[in-house]
Amino acid sequence: MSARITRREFLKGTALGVSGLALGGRVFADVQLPTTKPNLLFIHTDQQHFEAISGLGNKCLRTPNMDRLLARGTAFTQSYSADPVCCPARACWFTGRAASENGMLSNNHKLNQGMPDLGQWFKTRGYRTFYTGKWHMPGRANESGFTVLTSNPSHLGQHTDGVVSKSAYAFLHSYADDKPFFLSVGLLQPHDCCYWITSHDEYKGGLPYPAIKDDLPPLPPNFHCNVKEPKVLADHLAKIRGKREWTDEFWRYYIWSYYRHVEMVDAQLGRILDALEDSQFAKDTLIVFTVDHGDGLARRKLVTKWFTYDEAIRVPMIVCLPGSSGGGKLDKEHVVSGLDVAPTLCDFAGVEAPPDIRGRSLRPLLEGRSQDWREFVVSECNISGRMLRTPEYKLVAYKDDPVIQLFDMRADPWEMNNLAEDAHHAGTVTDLQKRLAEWEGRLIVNGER
Amino acid sequence: MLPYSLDLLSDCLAGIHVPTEPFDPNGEWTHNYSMWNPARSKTTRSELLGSLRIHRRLTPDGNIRLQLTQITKMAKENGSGRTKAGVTCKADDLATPIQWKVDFVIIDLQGKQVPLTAVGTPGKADKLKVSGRLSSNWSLLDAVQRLPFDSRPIEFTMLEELELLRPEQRLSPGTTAEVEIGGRLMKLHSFEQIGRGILPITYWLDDSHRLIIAVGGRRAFLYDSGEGGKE
Repeated sequence: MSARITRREFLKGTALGVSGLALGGRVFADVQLPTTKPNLLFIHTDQQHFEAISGLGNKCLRTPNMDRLLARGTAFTQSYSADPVCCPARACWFTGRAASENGMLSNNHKLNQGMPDLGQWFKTRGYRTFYTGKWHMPGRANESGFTVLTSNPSHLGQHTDGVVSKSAYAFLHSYADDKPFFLSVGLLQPHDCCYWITSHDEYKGGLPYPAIKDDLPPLPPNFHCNVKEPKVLADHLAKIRGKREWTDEFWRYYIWSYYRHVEMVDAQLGRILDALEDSQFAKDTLIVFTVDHGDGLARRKLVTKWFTYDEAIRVPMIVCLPGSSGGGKLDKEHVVSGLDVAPTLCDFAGVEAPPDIRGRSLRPLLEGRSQDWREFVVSECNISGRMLRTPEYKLVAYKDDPVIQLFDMRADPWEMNNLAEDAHHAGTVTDLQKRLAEWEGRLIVNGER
Repeated sequence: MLPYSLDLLSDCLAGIHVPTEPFDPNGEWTHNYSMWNPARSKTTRSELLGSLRIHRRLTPDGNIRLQLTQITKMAKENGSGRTKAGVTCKADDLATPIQWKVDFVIIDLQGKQVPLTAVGTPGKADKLKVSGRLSSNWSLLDAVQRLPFDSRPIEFTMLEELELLRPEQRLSPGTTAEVEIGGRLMKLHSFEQIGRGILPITYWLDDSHRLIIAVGGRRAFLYDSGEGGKE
């Protein structure tokens, strides 16, 4: 049996025990990073809830391939989408700029011309750049920065994720250029849950598959939760809830089905990881795995995204260093953002980051170097909404709306108690609002700060 | 009232033309299927997304040989993914795959192969670490046609596209339905498959055990008496 197979099987084997390892152990001993430019493999799924990974302790699904990433890399558990909707979140990844700066304020807005994307950036800095899968950035053809294997597949992940992952598989088996590559892989699942929802919106029957009754996941603690919300947010959530009249059991059936969608994409991820492990690039490729936004997953009787509660805005983020060094770590301490993807890739590639980017390179955290990390991240939502997240608190504010939300995320991770009107927290609200205003003051919108 | 899995396809059922001649699932046959997104609602219609062609023959050593071509359409400007597979299966109740070769490539709108997207993947079941029984999504399309409608549930691991492991699958007989298909009222018999990594799949067969519809989640295969899947 070849060493290559042994290594892959070792990875699969360790993934089974990643929960325990992640508490403090390391799967691989540290090794020196390659001195040459690494290949960059950026894999993203769509609408994956931050808890939808079995290696993080979720017993309602099995994701052996995401668990492989956990075993190889560092997972940031306080990772936030820069804007929890498809187009803005992706525009923030690929420009490193906030949605209000890059123009992608919501789905089907347009990316500002003249603001480089990562494909264009790396293409002119010694990399060959390739794209396969979902792009979804109106106003910018990915062909301008990437050689496209296949792109903008039909809106159905169940239909096309297999083609996308297989194209990445073929690429990793075929690439033979001397230059390092940057391959971005956009998988669509579990986004198909949106169509599951619409096709069941008016469903009034019982459980269609009684055999799964004993396997249905429980409802979340905040299933019935209702807290004071800014009007734009409240109005939007009312639209998401619609007139759906699902029973509690049917909500549990939704969660069960959602997890099957996640398992679908996990297998596609496995195909790509297998190809990488079997290729000549196994030891000199950086992997960044993250998600554009989460899913309501029955929290507050919500589905989909477009809001600032953790279920929609908090996302998986796993980074695996070239050579598998420093794996099996959970970083529960540092708040990170989708805006950090661009500076992180640039840092490892040894190229300067695009101008005025808002994120920070995760490299110091990944390499365990002492670092004064940021105190907060800011995400945007629904054009006029902002979420500021520190390791302890979450502040949500909408422009011209007097209703503020403040959650103590350590004491109240399910965000069931809005503390903004609690006199004991008035100072915290004022302090966080001041920081938010400072952050907004640094933005460059339409060329003006 | 149609069962839920057929209701979502109700805008397609009139277009399915099932042969009236007898069908022998144990013999040699070729089936064409069109591939759909089952999406009928007040505001949407089901979408045609590709095709699958399966040819079955018997081998001298008593096994089955399946030759498949699956065309998966991408968005308009991005051509399609083409998968060709040959798989030798046992002639058992799961058409258990023994060995296979899968060739994949992306084809652009001009019919040319997109560079760096072609790959061939051989495989053998005895190289896999699978506990329990094994099938594949393609060989199941053969296997269900040979199962008695009152067969006992079967548990297995599914090797999707002969590559992706989907464990803890269970295939069980389901309900029957009277459905108008292609202008003809037909009695359909079903099997249901539930397991990890899939949304429940329902296989609908006619009285002669010919597989007419396989539908799970956002993918449905509908029997196509034309040349679907043929290049």
